[in-house]
Amino acid sequence: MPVEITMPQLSDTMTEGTLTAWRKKEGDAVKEGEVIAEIETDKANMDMEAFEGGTLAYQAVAEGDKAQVGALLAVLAQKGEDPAALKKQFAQGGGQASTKPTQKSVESNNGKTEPQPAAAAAGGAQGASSHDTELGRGNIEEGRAQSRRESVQEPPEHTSEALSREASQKVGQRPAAAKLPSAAPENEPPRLKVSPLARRIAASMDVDLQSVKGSGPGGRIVQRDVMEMPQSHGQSSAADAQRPPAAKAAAPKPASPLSLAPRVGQGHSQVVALSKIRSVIAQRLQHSKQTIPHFYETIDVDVEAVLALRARLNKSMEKEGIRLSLADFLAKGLAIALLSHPELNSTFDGKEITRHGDVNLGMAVALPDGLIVPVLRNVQQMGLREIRLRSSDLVERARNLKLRQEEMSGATFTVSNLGTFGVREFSAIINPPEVAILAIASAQKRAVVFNDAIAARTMMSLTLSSDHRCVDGATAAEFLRTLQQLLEEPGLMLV
Amino acid sequence: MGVVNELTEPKLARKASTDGSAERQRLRMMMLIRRFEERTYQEYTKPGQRIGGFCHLYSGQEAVAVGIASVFQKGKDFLITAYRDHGHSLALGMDPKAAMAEMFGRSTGCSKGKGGSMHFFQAEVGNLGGHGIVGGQIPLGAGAGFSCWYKKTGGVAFTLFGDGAINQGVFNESLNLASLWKLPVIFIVENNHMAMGTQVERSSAEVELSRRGSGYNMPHRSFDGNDIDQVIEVVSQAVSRARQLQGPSYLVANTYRFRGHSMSDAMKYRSKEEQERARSRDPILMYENRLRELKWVDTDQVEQMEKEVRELVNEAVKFADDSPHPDLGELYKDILSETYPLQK
Amino acid sequence: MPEMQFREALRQAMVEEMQRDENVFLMGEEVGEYNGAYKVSEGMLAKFGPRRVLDTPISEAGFTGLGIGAAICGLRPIVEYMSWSFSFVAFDQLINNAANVRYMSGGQFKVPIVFRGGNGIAHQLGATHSHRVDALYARVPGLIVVAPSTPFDAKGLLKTSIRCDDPVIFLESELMLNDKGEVPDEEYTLPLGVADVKKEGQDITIICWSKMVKLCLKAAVALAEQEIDAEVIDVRTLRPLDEQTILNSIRKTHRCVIVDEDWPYCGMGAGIMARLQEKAFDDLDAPIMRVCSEDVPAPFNHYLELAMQPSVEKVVKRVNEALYR
Repeated sequence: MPVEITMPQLSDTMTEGTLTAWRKKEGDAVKEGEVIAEIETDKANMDMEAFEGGTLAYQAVAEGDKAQVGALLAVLAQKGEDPAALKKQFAQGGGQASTKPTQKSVESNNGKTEPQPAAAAAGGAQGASSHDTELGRGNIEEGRAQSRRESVQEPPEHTSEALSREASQKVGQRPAAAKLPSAAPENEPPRLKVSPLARRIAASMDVDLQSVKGSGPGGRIVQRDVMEMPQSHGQSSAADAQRPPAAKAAAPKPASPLSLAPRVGQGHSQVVALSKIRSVIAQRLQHSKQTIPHFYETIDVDVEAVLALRARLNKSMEKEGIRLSLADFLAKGLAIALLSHPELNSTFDGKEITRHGDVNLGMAVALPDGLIVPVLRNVQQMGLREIRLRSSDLVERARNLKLRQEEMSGATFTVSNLGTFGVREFSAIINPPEVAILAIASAQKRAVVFNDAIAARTMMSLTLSSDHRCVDGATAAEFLRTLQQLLEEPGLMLV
Repeated sequence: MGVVNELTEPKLARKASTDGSAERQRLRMMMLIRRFEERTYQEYTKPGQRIGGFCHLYSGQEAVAVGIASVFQKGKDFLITAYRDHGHSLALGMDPKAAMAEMFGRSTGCSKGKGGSMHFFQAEVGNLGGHGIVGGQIPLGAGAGFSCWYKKTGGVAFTLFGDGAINQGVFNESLNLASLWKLPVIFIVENNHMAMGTQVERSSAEVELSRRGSGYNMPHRSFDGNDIDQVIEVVSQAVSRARQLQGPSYLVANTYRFRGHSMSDAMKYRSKEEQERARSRDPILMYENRLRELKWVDTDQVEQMEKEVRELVNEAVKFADDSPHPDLGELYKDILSETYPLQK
Repeated sequence: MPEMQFREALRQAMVEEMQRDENVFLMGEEVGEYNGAYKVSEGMLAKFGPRRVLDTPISEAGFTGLGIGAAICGLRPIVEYMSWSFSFVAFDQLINNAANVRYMSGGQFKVPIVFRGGNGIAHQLGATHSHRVDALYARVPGLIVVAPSTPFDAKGLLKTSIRCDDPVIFLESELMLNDKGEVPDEEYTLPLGVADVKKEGQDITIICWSKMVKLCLKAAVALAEQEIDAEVIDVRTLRPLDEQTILNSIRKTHRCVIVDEDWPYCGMGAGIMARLQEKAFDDLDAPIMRVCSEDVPAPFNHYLELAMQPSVEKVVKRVNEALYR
């Protein structure tokens, strides 16, 4: 196979060289390592050696000619090959190396120029490898694309000035609509100064920043400015307010008021054997009520603000198909309140009280025959969306009795929610070793004193049952107050 | 004044080995290094540059690395050198495939493609690597010797560097420390007379480089680094002192690199005559002729060896070319130990 | 718990680790016969002998590189710099060798070595001896940078650093060496890369390390008098940085001041700040502020030197600015 001698790449920056002198003539015998030509690069003059021995069959360039890196300079005939025939063949362009290698040819074969048809028949490239073209692992491709090798091959007009011009022109061609969104809406002249935190809170509370007066330097709107804004409750629709507040999907349907047929016939009696679940309930609740000194505190919560927020959030999440329930806000508020009142987020084994840094919320779920308490773990790490998705999953599987054992244990606090049943208030029995349980009644319109006048407001009563062995009245009351504040001012949950 | 030079002139009293097999192995290793370097040159200059970065060839200096390797005790001794490190690594037994793959930057390279031509390492044989900053490795070599001293292993740290490195500050600090603490270190200058393009006369006020050893109260000698027998003899003397914890030595192996400093070096700073003179003292030819005279090698054997090393290098290039680039996940590996960040 | 000086805590850590592991040794200028320029290594030569406590010539580049070489070959050196300002002549060894060898060799070598000594402005030592090297080393992948503030932390962190398989830059301060603090009798270590909340608070997060921690705690007392409840976080390890502890705090307080003894431009505080603004932007109610040394060489004159450095007053003022007060 004839040996093609190409313009070597002698430095990273070299793209072409000049063949300044031939040291061997066509027809001369050449030994391996012998100098056959001199080359001038951007850095220096170099001697060019033959890597193989043979007869110099063809000089592809004349002295003084420039040639691109990889371009054919000469052909050596090896033993048994006819120099004259080779000269003829290569003079007609029949070599492996092209006379003017393009960027493409270098890239496509990374080291070997693309075979031209005539040469392809004459035999493949020296030990051709396809590895570089496929690069085995695509992930390095990206880095490689930026590598020096390619940039070496870039046309020389790509100076930094040219690139700068090109980038500016491209931006100029961008349609106005494609402008990148800015943090501040366009129709906000002059630009408001808002701290990132204040902007985030304002967005979640639907507060119009234009109406807020900033108290920070240069009038910057900060957290406290947003928090002190009165909330615009009027924005929530009447329909929202009247919708049953607790999620329909999350609770069993109450018995239809129309189904009034007697279920045990007159003069009959019905003996019902305790199911397994029933007997466990009986045993545990009796034990709880007999051994734990329960006491109860009830607080009324104005849920107008949280319902309004819920309506807005649900609207924005409509496409996702997520509908937050009041119970989700309660779970969120509870997580915060419990962490700041760990006395309630505790377990008691009769000797020691363990306060927990995570909130694992037990959620009593009614079943046809009894109830079950799946546990929503680490609620403190969840946003409303996650609470919704995880709790509805748990409740669903609870109903189908598909919970794993570990999903029914380890609660640090439990809620019992009868919100969908229209109950005004009730009390629940503590689920030991927990030390408290919260009974959530229905949110309903009540006539209350609001801003010194009688008003119809949506109210909800929460009753906390606590274990007096480890929780005192004032402690429980403080906890309820925190929970009330969080629900009446839901923006606080972000703080 | 206090300088006791215990190193004697090499006498080249070759003991007749049984069959010259060790000598043939040395010749073959020198040929392998030469072939490897010339092929590297060829691959490097091919358009598309599968070998990137800086690359410094060892052609012409083979006798130094192979000579040292023949007294090196694997598992006990250490060797550290500068960026012209291909020859030393091969001489210490690195697979040419791992070496070439490293140059190609592939995951199968001796340093997983993260070191490149200048940073070959092979921990299991005590090859502490090639180092890119001129002179930067000299105190590391002293430290390797310190570890042998501290643990009393009888090991020796071969610390190699070029004539350019002796003008760096750490050269002074390291030689002083090693001599002060009598560490088992052999400092070896591979004097190829050229710090990149600056001749010794233009960089060192004292051109007889071995004299610097006396400033550290260290035995010192300069010798013909192209003559592998001289290399072995002088280095052996230094090694035997070091193994007995009698202190370090400072050796100057005078040699010549046939290629430029790096690949873009046109060597305009030296004359054709000088280069031709050097070629006539090619360490491989000199050794081959000597072995021929001793009838330890004949033409057939030499041709056979040439064929073998050529084949080895061809395989190495093919292996490197076929090897994958490192996975991008490698980017963040080998920075800190696995136990990071919770070290207890 | 017994009280001891910072220097004693450092010494205990070194002595215990040298007793535990034969491969650990101490090397540096005046660590042996002189008993330590700052008496940190007092008595160690007598205890361990000249093989394991080595006086070096004044040759920072030489013994730094020698230590690295020894570490690569299986020892666990502790290298003492009389001052981190002197490490500049060994910069190549630290950056190119200590930090890079593991990576360049594809993980073949580990470099278990501790470099320790006094960092920062001491007292009237002038421009050459007052450098803060925190950012210089903390920006280098392959190094771990530790800067303790109390004797307890110093001992626990130094022991871990000595056992660590990576090169550790351990920053002390001449001015802290006499500080006293409680250190338990029993064996303990502290994890690297974990910050410590030195004081909890609600209103603002103050980030600091090393000598600045005490200053910031003093500032927290002054702030409490102004009814500002500051949280003081001692990052303890500058690299890797315990981002989570800092971010948790900012998510609570929404304000942050970083106190850095180094220059303001491209300093350690600047580096921490860059990360925080990327990760805590939406939790900030005010720009992150810094208290740094003035952007000048360290002056000799006592009053100028004081004026150059962070102070309680500067921290209090900055905190008030961050709180828009």
